Amino acid sequence: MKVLNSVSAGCQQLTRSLTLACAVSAAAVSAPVMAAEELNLYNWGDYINPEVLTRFTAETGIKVNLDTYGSNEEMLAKLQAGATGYDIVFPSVHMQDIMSHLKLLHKTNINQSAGFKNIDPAHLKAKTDPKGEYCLPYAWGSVGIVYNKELVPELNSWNEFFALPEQGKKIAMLDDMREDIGIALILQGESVNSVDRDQLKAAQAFLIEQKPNVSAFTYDSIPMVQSGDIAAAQWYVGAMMYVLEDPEKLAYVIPEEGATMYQENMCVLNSAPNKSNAKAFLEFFMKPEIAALNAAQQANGTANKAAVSLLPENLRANPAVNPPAEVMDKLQIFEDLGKGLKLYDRVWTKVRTAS
Amino acid sequence: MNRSLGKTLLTGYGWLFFLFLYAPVALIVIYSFNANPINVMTWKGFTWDWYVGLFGGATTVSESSLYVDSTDQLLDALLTSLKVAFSATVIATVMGTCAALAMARYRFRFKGFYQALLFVPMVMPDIVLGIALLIFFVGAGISLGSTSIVIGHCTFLTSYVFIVVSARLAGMNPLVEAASADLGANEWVTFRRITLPLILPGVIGGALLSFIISMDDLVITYFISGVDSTTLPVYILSMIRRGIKPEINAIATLMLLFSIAIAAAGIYFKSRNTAQ
Repeated sequence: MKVLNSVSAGCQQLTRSLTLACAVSAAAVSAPVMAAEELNLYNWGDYINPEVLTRFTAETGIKVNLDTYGSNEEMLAKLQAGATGYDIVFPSVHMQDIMSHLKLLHKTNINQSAGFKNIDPAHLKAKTDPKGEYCLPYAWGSVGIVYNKELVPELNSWNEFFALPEQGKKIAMLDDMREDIGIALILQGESVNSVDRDQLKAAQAFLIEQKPNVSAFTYDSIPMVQSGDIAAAQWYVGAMMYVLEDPEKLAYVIPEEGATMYQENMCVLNSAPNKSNAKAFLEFFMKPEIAALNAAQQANGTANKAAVSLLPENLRANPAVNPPAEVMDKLQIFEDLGKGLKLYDRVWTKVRTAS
Repeated sequence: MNRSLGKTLLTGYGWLFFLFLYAPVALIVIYSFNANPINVMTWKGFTWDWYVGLFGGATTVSESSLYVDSTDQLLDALLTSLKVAFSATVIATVMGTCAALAMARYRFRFKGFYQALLFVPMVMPDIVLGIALLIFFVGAGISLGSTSIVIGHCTFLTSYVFIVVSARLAGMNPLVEAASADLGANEWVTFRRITLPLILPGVIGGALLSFIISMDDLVITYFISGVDSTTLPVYILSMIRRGIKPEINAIATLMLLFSIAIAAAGIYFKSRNTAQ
């Protein structure tokens, strides 16, 4: 509780100083312009700090409309059906590649903007956009292990994770094809995007061997880990929110063998009615104080190097949220596999139906 | 002996049935007072904060740095839902009532066919209607937004109003209208003074039903919503990745109260109708 209080105090302090800095810079640079300009964002639910939007409107006079979706596929389906009016979408990296092949994305040349020097080039992950000519890296996070410290004092690796059931402690994995097969591939030292039949066969054998030991395949493991029904679970870095709330009991770790990661980028659509406003928003978001404002509230990783130092202590110095370079190198991101996905489907069916 | 055992079992079954039906609803109400800002399902203490926050008051829980404050977006979504439901209800009620009157009072060619057509939107799977409407709007060049949602909702709400009003009209003696005409009233006066008051319980019932269905609709709305027209169900669905927020429980509780009030109003009108 004490930790939590100091954490929240730190955050409020950060917010306050940012507010001040921003108010000053906004007043100095440009008086708010009142035009009937608009910008339409289409984002995941609760995936942006509303304060960022308020600031943007205050600074530019552009009104921001925010609509939300629940998955990449939903968003793509909607756009492919011909829904227009949205300016900026927030696809995951592999979805950006798909959208790029479908020619849905507008070339913003955002990498020519002054603020782009703040962006860590390691986060230009899309194969179709290696230089950042189209989209701006938005936020990212790892998929590691969250565990109950009362049951497992310390956990550092997937091997320790999979050894827990032998000690009578329960584990849970995500009910996610790519994530689970990905872990099996990582443990063999392979790429999580492998379409090699033999590698996938080995991954399948590993998962089938582990299956009797895995108590649940679910996305809802957090309450179970909190209550101690499950000792450790594969989960997103978003678990950090729960960990920070109860650091005595919970911990989140990126296992030493490596892990998967996700990243969403901000992309301007070809059909965007307000392209210049959209670019203005991308540029606004490249400001370190704005990126930090967002990451501090979302408790996830930022691709903005200059923003990291502005983060509150509990996030900045946290190896799970801002891992050092050698850990970063061990994080793998999913790519669109095209037809190779069928191989994964087959493995996953075998694993899920194995008894 | 056997009979009383059967009775006990039946009573027990009845209670279990209602428990099964209402326990989840009761949980939502209870957890809407949970002070935990992050995990909705872990009890941390009693608070009014979620309700206070919804009405714009300052709260203590939301001061927690880990809490993602998006109450404004939530209220925006609720407002969109209310606007859409209100507009769609008014339009669908007028259209559905007119259709019911025409079907009951006039004979014309293909009447049976028209009647069947009016039932189709009710039995059509939501997902089919949703995709069909989306293709229609995009093809017709109507931009997606609140207007397209209202038009889309009207397509099936009209059917609901039609059915409720038709049932009321079927129970009405057509001779009273003839009597009114005999006494020198023109058609408009007859409608206003005789027909409308008699079918009013049906019209209001149909309107209330429409309102609730419109507020509640997710699948069709999801397909035909556009810029700045996220309704409450669509918004709640999109929050799944971050986890459901505690205010949702508070909103759900308020909507529950609202629904109970509307249902009570419906029952009142229905009982007034049978009393007459």
